[in-house]
Amino acid sequence: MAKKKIYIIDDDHDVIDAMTIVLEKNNYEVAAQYDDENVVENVKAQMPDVIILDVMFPEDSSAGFNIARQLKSHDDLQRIPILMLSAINERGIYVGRFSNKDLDESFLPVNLFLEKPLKPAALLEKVASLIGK
Amino acid sequence: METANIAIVGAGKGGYECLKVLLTTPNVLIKYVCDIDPNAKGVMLAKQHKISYVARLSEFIHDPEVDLIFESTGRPEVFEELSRAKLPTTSLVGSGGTRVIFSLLDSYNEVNRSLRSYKMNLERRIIERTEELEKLNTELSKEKAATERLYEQQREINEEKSRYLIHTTHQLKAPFAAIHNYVDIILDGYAGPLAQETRDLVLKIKTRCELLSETILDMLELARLKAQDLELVREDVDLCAVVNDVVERFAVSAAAKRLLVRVDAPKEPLIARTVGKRLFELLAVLLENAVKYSPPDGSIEIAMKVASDGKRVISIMDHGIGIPEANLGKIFREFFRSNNAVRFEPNGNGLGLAIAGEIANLLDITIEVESELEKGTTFHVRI
Ligand SMILES: Nc1ncnc2c1ncn2[C@@H]1O[C@H](COP(=O)(O)OP(=O)(O)OP(=O)(O)O)[C@@H](O)[C@H]1O
Ligand SMILES: [Mg+2]
Repeated sequence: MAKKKIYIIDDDHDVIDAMTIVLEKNNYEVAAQYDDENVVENVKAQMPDVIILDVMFPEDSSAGFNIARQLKSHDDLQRIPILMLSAINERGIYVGRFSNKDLDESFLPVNLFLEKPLKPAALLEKVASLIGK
Repeated sequence: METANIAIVGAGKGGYECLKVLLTTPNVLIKYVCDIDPNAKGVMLAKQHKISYVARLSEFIHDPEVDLIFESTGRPEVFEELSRAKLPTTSLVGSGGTRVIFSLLDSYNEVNRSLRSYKMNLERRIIERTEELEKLNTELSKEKAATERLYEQQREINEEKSRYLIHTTHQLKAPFAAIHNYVDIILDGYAGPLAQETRDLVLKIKTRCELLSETILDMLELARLKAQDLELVREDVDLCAVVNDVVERFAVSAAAKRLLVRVDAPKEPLIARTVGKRLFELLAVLLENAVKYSPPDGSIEIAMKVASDGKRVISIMDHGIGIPEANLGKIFREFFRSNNAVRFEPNGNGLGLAIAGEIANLLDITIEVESELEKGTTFHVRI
């Protein structure tokens, strides 16, 4: 069976490297980009099985949300599941040190959220669940 | 009252006194002063006041304007001559009567004078007071303006500080998360098998990482609260429900220490207009501390009631290590941890109560604390 392909969009190369180590060890093929430019074209070229997307980019704090909407508005891309990395405590997703962090997923066209800092096991579990769908 | 025209006969000692009193009596016009001695004391005074001086009775006795003659020579023959010669419309008062009248007049004048001076004093004091008040007022408004300026400056500085803090903590978070990632990857064996000693050390790094990321989140939370960079939508909140949520949140950590958390809640919902999420956070800080600073196998009591002033009061009581009296005033400070707490539980960043205090501030809640060392602590939250 061909390896499943994961495409990562994150501005932090260490975060990308760490995920790449975990994913490659678990038989995924990984491609990535470090900025928020030409995302739609790049994803079209890669046609990954899962997209991992960071919420924040240095130049635009809501770039992640916009990218997600762009991807979901393309007919041939919208079926690709998106796993969004939500740096906790950002834009009210995490609302306090004791809140139960349940997320309102309806307001964003993404399929799953994953908290930073990432736990390898959680990453693998979420990726697997998205591919299984 | 009509003015009475008066003539005084005899300007010696008695006449002089009469004159003096009459000069200060209202509604009186002294028309003549009569004495054969042009150098008599009363004559001098009369001249000073431009009163007509006459030497003989005949010079004024037929003046119909004279209403009243005061005879003050004390000589009977003068009185007799006056009563004979005076017009019937003119009244005559002899020496005896004159003395009585004058002593009366004198006291009347005295009373009048005191009244006048009292009134003047009063007016003066009113003026003085008004001036004082005005001065105070201008000083006050100057002070108020200065205070407002100071307050404004302080607000700006605080905002700047909070913005800076929010920014820095944000900046800290990303690199820190990256370190944390790598630690997890190493521990999960992605970098090859680990010797036990290495694993122990990396685990220590991981623990510190977790504590530090908690600190960073708390600092960010605190900065946001301070910058009031949060939506505060007040609603009718059922306090019993919030308390139950908080208890549930700490059920596992309480159970791990075999601590029984008892909630004494009223039967009916206890409603308060506040921000539920923030209140949850505030109470969570307090219950977290109660669990954290209690030895195993004990209990924590939470009571709810309506105080006599209508405020809702939630009390969280533990039987733990207590807070030294000298530190009671410091526990809401950022990063403050009491030595007895650090000895008992080394992990903590001292931001919990700072956050709780900031939330209380925003929601007009007061937190009171009672504590006895090694006996326990109670926090009362008044909403
Ligand atoms: N229930 C309690 N019993 C005893 N001491 C307490 C209690 N609650 C607070 N304290 C004292 O107040 C200090 C400050 O509390 P705070 O919750 O702000 O910080 P912390 O618990 O030390 O750390 P953290 O930020 O992790 O909560 C504590 O270190 C402790 O000394
Ligand atoms: Mg605490």
